[in-house]
Amino acid sequence: MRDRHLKYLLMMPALLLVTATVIYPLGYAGIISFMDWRLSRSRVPTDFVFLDNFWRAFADDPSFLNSLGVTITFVAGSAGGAVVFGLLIALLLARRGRGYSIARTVLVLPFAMSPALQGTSFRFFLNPEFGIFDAVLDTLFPFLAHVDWLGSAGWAMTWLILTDMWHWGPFLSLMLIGGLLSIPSDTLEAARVDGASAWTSFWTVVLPQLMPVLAIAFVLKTIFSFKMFDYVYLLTGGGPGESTSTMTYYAFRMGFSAYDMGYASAIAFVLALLLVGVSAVYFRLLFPKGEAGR
Amino acid sequence: MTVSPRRRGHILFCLRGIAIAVLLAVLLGPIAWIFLTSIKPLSDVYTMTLFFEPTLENFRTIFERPFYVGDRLLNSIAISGLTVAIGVPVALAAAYSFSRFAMRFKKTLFLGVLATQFVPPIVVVLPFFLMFRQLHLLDTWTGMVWINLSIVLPFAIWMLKGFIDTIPVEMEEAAMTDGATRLRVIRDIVLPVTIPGVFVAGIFCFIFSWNDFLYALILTKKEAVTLPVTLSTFYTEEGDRWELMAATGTFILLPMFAISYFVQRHFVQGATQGSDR
Amino acid sequence: MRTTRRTLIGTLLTGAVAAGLVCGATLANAADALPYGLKSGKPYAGTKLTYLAPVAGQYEGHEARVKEFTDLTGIEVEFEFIPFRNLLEKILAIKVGGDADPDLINYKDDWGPGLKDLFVPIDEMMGADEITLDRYYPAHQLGVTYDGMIYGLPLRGHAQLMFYRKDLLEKHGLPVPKTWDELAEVAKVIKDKEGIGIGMYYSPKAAQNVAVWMNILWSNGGELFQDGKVIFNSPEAVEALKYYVALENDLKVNSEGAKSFEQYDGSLSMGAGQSAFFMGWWWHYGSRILGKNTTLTPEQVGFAPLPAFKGDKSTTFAMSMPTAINVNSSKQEAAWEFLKWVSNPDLEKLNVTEKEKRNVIVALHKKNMMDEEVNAANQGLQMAAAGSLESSRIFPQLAVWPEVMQVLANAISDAVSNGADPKEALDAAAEQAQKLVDRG
Repeated sequence: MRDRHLKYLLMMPALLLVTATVIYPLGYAGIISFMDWRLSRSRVPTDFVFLDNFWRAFADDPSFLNSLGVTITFVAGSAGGAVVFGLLIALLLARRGRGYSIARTVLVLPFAMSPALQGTSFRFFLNPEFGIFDAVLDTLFPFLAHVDWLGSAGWAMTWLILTDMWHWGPFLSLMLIGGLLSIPSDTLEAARVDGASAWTSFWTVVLPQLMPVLAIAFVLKTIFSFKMFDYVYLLTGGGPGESTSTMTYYAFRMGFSAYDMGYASAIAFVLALLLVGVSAVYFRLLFPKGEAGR
Repeated sequence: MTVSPRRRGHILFCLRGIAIAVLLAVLLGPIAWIFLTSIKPLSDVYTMTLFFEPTLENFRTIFERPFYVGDRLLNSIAISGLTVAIGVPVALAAAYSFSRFAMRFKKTLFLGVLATQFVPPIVVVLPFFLMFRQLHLLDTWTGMVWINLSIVLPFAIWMLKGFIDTIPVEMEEAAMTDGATRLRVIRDIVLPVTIPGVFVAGIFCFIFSWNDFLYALILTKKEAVTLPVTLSTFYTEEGDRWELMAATGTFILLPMFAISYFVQRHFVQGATQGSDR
Repeated sequence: MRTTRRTLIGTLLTGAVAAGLVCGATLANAADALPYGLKSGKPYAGTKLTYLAPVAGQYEGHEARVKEFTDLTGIEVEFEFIPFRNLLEKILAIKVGGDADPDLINYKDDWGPGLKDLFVPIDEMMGADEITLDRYYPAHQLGVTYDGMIYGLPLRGHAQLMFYRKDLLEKHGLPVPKTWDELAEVAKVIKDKEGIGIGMYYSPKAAQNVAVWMNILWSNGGELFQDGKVIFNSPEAVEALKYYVALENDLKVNSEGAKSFEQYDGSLSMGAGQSAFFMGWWWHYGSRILGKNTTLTPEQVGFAPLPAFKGDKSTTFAMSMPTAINVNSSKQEAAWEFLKWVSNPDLEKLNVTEKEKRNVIVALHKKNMMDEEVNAANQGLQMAAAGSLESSRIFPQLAVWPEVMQVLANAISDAVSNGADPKEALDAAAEQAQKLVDRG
């Protein structure tokens, strides 16, 4: 078969499956972001209000603007944190040998743990009376003994990020180990023979080879960080105050506690637009000019 | 600065050992504690004690009504298993195409596929509900597999493309000059080398559909209810029944241990092949 | 074998009930009359109902005893249990979809104004079967009534109580506090001597901090709304918030972790012996303070009405979880039969007195709350709660109340954790809430 046809044929099942599924729900949600749909009043969307929902978000809702800032802080912390954590794990464990193989078996588990259980458990782990995290940290760092871990803005955000990192870091490391192990060992050997130190060979040989996988891990994690909901819901409830109230959490509140689906959709689409922007930038960086053909 | 290379090797070896030990403690500690919680009698659940009489009471409770963890397990395995079985090959084909062929609007198309996942589920779940109702797919395995596929595919394609990108094209070109067809090249050359990537994507698909909560909550009722929904019924009006969640969670993690071990073996095998080439 | 025996017992029981009625009745056809106003002659036999409810001891108890209803009416009922946290999302999906299934829905009373289009008004059916809301306390009556119509019958409901460590108060010769100032004083003494304080909570998660603050507010003569205007930034409200914040930051009478605690954490802390006081819904007594998770004994724990802020009268509030009939259901009559049965006082009494399987303490019928057997089985908790319920109020009946409550919860948490000025925090919250209310 000619490549000319094959390339579309290979892509077709995936494209069909995805578009056939999401086109209606996404279109529906997109349309209602321009409509008035208050679930308490009507079971169907009522009037077109054009840009009112978006206008309200940016001009008339400090809580929304706050959630924008919170989301960016969280994404920067958790996407960056999880990828670095994953890379560190990968560098530690991407070696041959039975011991390493057993250690790697563990890497699936944090990701496999249901976020609901993880969130609930981590909250209990931070309890000052019977929390294991609290107890360990108090022993290791006595000056932190009386910190109320979720009771101040800075710590609450820190724990939100750490919780998310614990879930994602090991999984990302699996991706990276896959990448590292497929770097031909002769390339590394060659670098060693050149007398390059481990540090230099990491920067000059390993990292460039790993770049495609690393970039993908980063984009993937960025998308999921933007959409993260469970841990806010289970650990902090957006608090203290609104210091951890992310956009997804705020959209949830607007949709299901203020019954304002039109407004919730508008917030969700602002988030989606933000993601389109971010990914466009990534794509620029990932596929420099003319590389589209590859 | 006069450390001999050998000494240095020893120090590095020790440091590496310590780092791995800390890492394992960080990853396994919470899991172990959750496991302990699941076998503690209720009077010790909210304490730090390590001395308690282990009990299987919590495990008994979760299999009884109204939780029926046993029935939900079958649903979860079937839905996640089918998602992987369909999702991985489909994603691999698309990823290969995205990675190797030139075409117009490729970047846009690729971004478009990924962008279907940019909208948080909480606002699309109601439209999904309305659509599934029209199609009579509510509360069915088919419906759940379908929706899970639509979620995991964009990411799986994205991951696999990354792995395929790292493979030099020259090998395929050489094979094709020798007269091999594209499909054979994919099967015999690309697939073996991308095994680690395929496994990572497979794990992702499996676990992601396994853990999906919101869609399962709204789109199932009785027949196709999955484990995460059951896990959340332990958020009762009288607080969170952590011990029961822990029991269910432990129960869910057991098969993951098995899968993880299996994956590990193939992972390394694949990688070894990859670097021997 | 087993089934046969059960059916036999069921038949015998039904027979016995019927026989009992024959003795008492004067009508010739009384042999057919069923208890609880159920229609005789099984007109809906074979109907299958589905019932959406969260998991709670109450409903598990109903499910375990539903056979009685099936035997009496021939109607089968399937319980669909849903995580409590996600109950509202599930109900909203049913509303949006216009689904006929489930036939019956259990919900939280403050969601009612936003959901009422989904429910069948039951005034007429109640009238026909001579069931009135008089059997419940005023707060629970109000909880199911919107715009003068009744939409459901309460099956679960909570009063607020203050729980305290009786043994510790006695040990140090301290009185049971009747006002917030007394509470602070007494708690200070206990904290100094025993190292444990009030199991207070300030987290905006689940918005329960609002409930504590509202008690102080009401007792201080403040209100949340007046003629559709938000007035919870009044001087009384600011004073209430300042006091609530001071308990944590200045008087320091709370147990550790209060800033990040929600109500559940407070009662867990008390159950673990780490707090001497706890204020919250009465169910905590049965499942968290004296539940299987604690070593406390009933002798160690006392309960009293919440303290007053000014004067000696406290105004607490109450919530309920009514069950309503889905307006899209095609089996509304059969559903009404079930609602009559499931809300009957005898079933409730069984639920709160039979303790082998589950410790349910929640009763709603006035009759049961004052019942000696019920109180004997529950250390007199119902009698105490009855006092609190007599003067209880409910959450404001506004569709957007759940979100207004969240806004308030955030403001309170901001004041205690992030050092926000109470007045400014409430001003901002009031402005935001006013917009929500105006939008409806």
